[in-house]
Amino acid sequence: MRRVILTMVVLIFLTGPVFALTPEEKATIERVRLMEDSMWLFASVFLVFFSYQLRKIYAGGAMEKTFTLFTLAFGLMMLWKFLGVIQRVYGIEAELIRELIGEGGSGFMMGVAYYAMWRMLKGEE
Amino acid sequence: MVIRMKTAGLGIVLILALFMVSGVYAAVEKPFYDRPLVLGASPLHIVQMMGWGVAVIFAWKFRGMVEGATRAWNTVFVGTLLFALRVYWKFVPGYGESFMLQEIRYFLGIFAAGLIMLGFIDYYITASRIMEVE
Repeated sequence: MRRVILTMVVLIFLTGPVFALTPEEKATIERVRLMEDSMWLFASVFLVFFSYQLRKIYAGGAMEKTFTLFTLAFGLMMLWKFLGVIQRVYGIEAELIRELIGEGGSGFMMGVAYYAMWRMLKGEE
Repeated sequence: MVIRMKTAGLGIVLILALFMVSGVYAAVEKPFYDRPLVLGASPLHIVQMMGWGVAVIFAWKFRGMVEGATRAWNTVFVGTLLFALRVYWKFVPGYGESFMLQEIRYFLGIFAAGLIMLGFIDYYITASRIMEVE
């Protein structure tokens, strides 16, 4: 079961980009960009789910806090990529929220989450 | 740990407050967070690059610390590294003119998403099994 799930994830992410290739370079970039946003949206929904589940597994322990931070970071990532897809497909722009809260906020939270994880694991050793 | 979490929380609130202030400023003229500050990078890019840079460093440091989940965290590390490269890629000389460089940047993002997801699924399965045994 583990192998089936992991193989499916690899196949989705390897075959998807092939459909974005076109003879015209500019069109290809637009499509690859949309594909990156939609794949990150797909991935971040799952990452929020898995980090939230891991938070529940470690409820009451030190790991709980770090997975809360990961949930928050992937949640911001999801917001960033969701607004990116909306912008590219429907032309609805939300630059301020997408760039500040999504792009900057997720980068910042990602650093905090990884640092908290290292600090917690170092404390356990 | 409680005080540290409070300090971290305060830091996050301050950063968000900075974002809000810059948002109001953005309504008036071109936002300062998007103006080139150092070597063509805006404050927004600097925060983003620092965040992902810190993430790569600590992902490298703790990848072997969780017993039985080294493979999962190694995968997450590679994914994080690829995404950090994607963030830094914009500053490769000639990026704006080269279609190839722009395509590579988005492909890096796509593979990073796949690898981070793969690593987290792997870790979730491993952690669930360990908890079941315990």
